Amino acid sequence: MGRAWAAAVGVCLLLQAGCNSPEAAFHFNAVYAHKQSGVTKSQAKNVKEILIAQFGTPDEPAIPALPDLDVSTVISLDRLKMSAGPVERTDDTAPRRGLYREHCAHCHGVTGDGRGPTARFLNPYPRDYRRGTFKFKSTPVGGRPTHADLKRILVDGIPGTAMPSFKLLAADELESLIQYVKYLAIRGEVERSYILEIDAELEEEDLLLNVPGEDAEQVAEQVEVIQDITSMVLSRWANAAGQATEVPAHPVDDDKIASITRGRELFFGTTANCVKCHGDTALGDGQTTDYDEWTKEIDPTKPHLAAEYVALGAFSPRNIRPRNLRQGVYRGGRRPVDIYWRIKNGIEGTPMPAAPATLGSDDIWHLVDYVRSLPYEALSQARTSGPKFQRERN
Amino acid sequence: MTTPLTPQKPPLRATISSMRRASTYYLLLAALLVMLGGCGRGSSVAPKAEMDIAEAMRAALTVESGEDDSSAAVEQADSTGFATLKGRFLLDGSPPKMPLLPVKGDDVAICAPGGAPVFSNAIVVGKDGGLANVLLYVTSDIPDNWLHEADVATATATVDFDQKQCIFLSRVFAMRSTQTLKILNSDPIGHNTNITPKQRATPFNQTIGANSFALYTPGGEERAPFPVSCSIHPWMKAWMITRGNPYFAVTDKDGYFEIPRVPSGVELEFRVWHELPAYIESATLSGVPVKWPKGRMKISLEKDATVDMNVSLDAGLFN
Ligand code: HEC
Ligand code: HEC
Repeated sequence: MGRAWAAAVGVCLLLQAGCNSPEAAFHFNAVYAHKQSGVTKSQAKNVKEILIAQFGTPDEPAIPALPDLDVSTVISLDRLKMSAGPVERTDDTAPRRGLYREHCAHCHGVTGDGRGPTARFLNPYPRDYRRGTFKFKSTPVGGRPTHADLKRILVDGIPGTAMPSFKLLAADELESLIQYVKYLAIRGEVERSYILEIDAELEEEDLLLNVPGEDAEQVAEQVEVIQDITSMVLSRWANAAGQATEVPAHPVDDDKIASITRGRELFFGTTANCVKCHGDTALGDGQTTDYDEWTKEIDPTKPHLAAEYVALGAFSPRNIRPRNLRQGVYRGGRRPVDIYWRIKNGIEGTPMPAAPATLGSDDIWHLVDYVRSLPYEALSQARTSGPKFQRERN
Repeated sequence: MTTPLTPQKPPLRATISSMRRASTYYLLLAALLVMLGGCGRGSSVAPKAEMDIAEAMRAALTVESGEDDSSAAVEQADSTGFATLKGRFLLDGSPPKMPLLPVKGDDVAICAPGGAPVFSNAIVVGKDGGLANVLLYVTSDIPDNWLHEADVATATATVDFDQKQCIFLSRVFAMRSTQTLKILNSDPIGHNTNITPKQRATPFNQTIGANSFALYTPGGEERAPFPVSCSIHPWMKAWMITRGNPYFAVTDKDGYFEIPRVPSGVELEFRVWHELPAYIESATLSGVPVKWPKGRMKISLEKDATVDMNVSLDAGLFN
């Protein structure tokens, strides 16, 4: 009996080891391909091969060559190497490798799909980088995070979630990991675009890149399409630095109470509408039936469709809750400037919208002041608030 | 005193232990399957990539793309002038029943006045079975000099997109990627408009105060329609497309459409789309069954002609 169990455990361990064997591979985005529906098995294989040609493998990364854009200004292959590969520490003089698999992959997955072995037990789920969508950044919706944004996330972590702080890593290690996140995101975005391209343009028997193949003219055209998509994705990352939203100075007045009062009016009013989601008491219990953009892609409101995606590896859909603003835990950072960016630009990939463009920077600062005062406001004060009646009269 | 047990039955202990043994094997088998399943995930969907093919591709992709002679070499036919494409889409059969929308929350007084039920408008059928919200758009490359001056003039115009009683007034909306969208809110409550393009247009998610508006500039062309929603009222839904050329139309409430000033004398590829089937792949055009793979419809119009299309679509496509 005991021996049978030992054998069972042994076999399991062996197989597990097989899973983590050295030839780690990037997974194909089968969920997105299913969403676009028009991708055949041989087209999927073709996409995998093109991606290896451009981006290499988890052990041996590469960066794509482009005629019109110097890719090394966005990601440097030399920097990536420290994060790529299996965890390895032979001796102190050899260059280190495998940082990503050591620190990140068990949550974010080798592919950066947010599906590492511990991921399904976490709430929120770890980020799937492959959409190129990041939440806590200084750039507006549609912009990629800046280098500084990613660095801050790595140094501070994301309070209130499983994402830890990596403050203790050396500067060059952090630098390498930031680049590796960009690398995985870019690779994932390019893959999604190839899937869209196939779905929109190709017949079932056609490939995106017919290599090895005879028809040089066809290949030249296909190479152009591939390079065009790749440089579209890369240029978004190259442009991020210039897109950070400016933060004008806080209006100079000593009257903090007046600013908080104005912020409170806005919070409950029909221009800023914060109350609709964050709720009458700001406990995050207003509109709670929506989903984030990652989840919306798997048709969460249609359980029979969602089940098909889950069978392909997607995690079960969960509603996203607006933040409970009485806890004083800010995932994107607690500095006033962080909260300014969250309110001004919204939180990309989530229902949290950008503030209306009609609100000037002073009003955004009033909202920041009110939000920051909420953890100290008595609950009873909020419920009987005057502005609520104003809202109903409208 | 010992009463023999029935010979066929093994002693109780033995039964239990053999059950245990069996269950161990089942467990082992189950564990094996689970582990194998775990390993296979992700790789089972497509055959394994071949490294030598990837190497060959890498070589093909690193070749300096020299002078852009390939596109210059292909001499394109030139347009001869303009024509009009118009017509009507009819639904053949009865439309599927539209679900009731979950209109809830503290805005019901405005979103569902008098508590009236609100149904999805994913399918709208008008007079005599005319089908609304079918989208047609040209996907061929259109050189700038083919455009009529009336269309050049509106390239950067501002177009309106409105919402009232928590419904987007256009269920399907097409615009040029160089135009500006004025997103109006005609309700006395706040909305937020969440626009989620797939590839080249910029995403957008901004709060729009009561009776106010916001401006959106897509800045890029999309190949297929993408969803528009409101996170405060998650039942609100619309579809949008941004195009680099002005040749598109959405059928009106009775199924009619008209695209004026379409370049003539050249073959153009249109896509035909409706949100429920997505690309419309089969139809009956003036009584003749036609196939439009991925919604592709190719057509060449004569100068100054007005071509009238009568399309009928089987209701089965919309289930
Ligand atoms: C214990 C699990 C865990 C580990 C380990 C982990 N993360 Fe995360 N990470 C998360 C979770 C969960 C989120 C999503 C938080 C959210 O959505 O609010 C996240 C989000 C992120 C984001 C997105 C930030 C944004 O603005 O959207 C980045 C970038 C990131 N992690 C990088 C890393 C890197 C690099 C490592 C390794 C050095 C790492 N993470 C290790 C759990 C983890
Ligand atoms: C449509 C719903 C919605 C509206 C309207 C809305 N929020 Fe949010 N808000 C959210 C959601 C959802 C989150 C959580 C996003 C996440 O991190 O996943 C959030 C998060 C936040 C956070 C937390 C940021 C952090 O770093 O943790 C703050 C602060 C915030 N909202 C303030 C506001 C203010 C101020 C307004 C009004 C101007 C507002 N919200 C309007 C849905 C909304």
